[in-house]
Amino acid sequence: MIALGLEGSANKLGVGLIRHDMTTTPPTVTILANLRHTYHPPPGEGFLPKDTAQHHRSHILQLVKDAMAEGNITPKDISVICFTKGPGMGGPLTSVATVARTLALMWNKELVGVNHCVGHIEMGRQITGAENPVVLYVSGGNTQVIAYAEKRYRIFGEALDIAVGNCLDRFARVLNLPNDPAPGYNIEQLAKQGTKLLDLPYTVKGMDVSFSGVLTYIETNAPALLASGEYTAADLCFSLQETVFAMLVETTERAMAHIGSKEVLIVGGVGCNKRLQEMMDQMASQRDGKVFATDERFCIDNGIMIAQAGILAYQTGYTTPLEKTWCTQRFRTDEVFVAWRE
Amino acid sequence: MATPALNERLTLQIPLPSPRLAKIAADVLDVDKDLKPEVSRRLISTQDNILTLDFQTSTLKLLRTVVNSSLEMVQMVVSTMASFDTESGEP
Repeated sequence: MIALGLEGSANKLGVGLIRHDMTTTPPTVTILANLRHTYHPPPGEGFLPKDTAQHHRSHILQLVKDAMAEGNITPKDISVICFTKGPGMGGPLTSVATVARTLALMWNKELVGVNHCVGHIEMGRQITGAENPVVLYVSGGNTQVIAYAEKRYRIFGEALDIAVGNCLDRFARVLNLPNDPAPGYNIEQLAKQGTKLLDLPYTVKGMDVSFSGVLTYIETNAPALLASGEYTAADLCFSLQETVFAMLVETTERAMAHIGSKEVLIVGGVGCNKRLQEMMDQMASQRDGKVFATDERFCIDNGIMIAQAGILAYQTGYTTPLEKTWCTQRFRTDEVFVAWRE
Repeated sequence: MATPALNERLTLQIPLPSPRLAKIAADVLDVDKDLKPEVSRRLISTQDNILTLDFQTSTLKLLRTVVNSSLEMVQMVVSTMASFDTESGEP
């Protein structure tokens, strides 16, 4: 069984092809293609919906062609077409969904609308083999602490205002860091040269976290701190990372304690951050636990995770009828009935 | 507040290569419903190979916006068809 997966909820456009060989138990999973094209705005700017949608429309057809060529796949080989239904940015999501629908009708294939967060979780599980971890899903658009229970990915805690990646990305604009390959990546590299820790607001609220306050604080004070020579840009990046990551580690630990889990799976673009992985690992080791993370092929938004989550749903008999293939900016992780797990 | 009259109108008739493709285009586009039907409405229909989009809005600015975004999606559908249609024999 082969699934085509199309992802475009933010500035990353991803196309993936995955095969599930159903003759083995469990099925053998092979990644046939996992291609991505990213929209980078100029330094100091963020990506806006209209430009992002246009980027996706400009690149998606070639990306699909390239993916099929790389996987040596023709339309008749494809069992199901999966696409991101939400959450994310409206125009970009709809641009990609439009292609999915068109292909499905031309080729006479079923469609599966996938929840972007569930895509991240399922790809993380597939790649790392983590059994039943607490999942920390951290990206530019989402920050959630998730654990599976009775057919749903339950949200134990989340960011109350902006995602941690959004906080980092917007601070990168203040420093005028390049957006290529990603603002968060450039903050991570610069932070490695930081040595001085600035005391920043630390806002954990029970199981939840808040980032807009610490962002406002550092945005407001950075110019003066840098001008005074007291702190370098590297020191500020270092301080911001240490603070927000500590907040994430705390809430993840709280969830682990709550459900008695010894595994942490970090997914989402911010999950690529080695410092976050290191801090999480220190906490997990103290609890005799283990951290699972993937590399940039899978933690950054991609099409293969959509194909994976989609094909798992498809195998339980789930499809999305055409009239329901609209996209939505808000789509809670626990709205999905996880029929494919016990 | 009374519902504004939808006095601004535009009709687009777009020929597709075949009735089949016109129907597919109509079905794909019609999934996305009007965001604010009280001020902007789009009706999609086909006649043989002609895809017809009827727009009715309360203001000229809304008309321009909805027509532009619809055309962006039409362009996406049409270019997807040009690249990937299998019925013409191309894989």
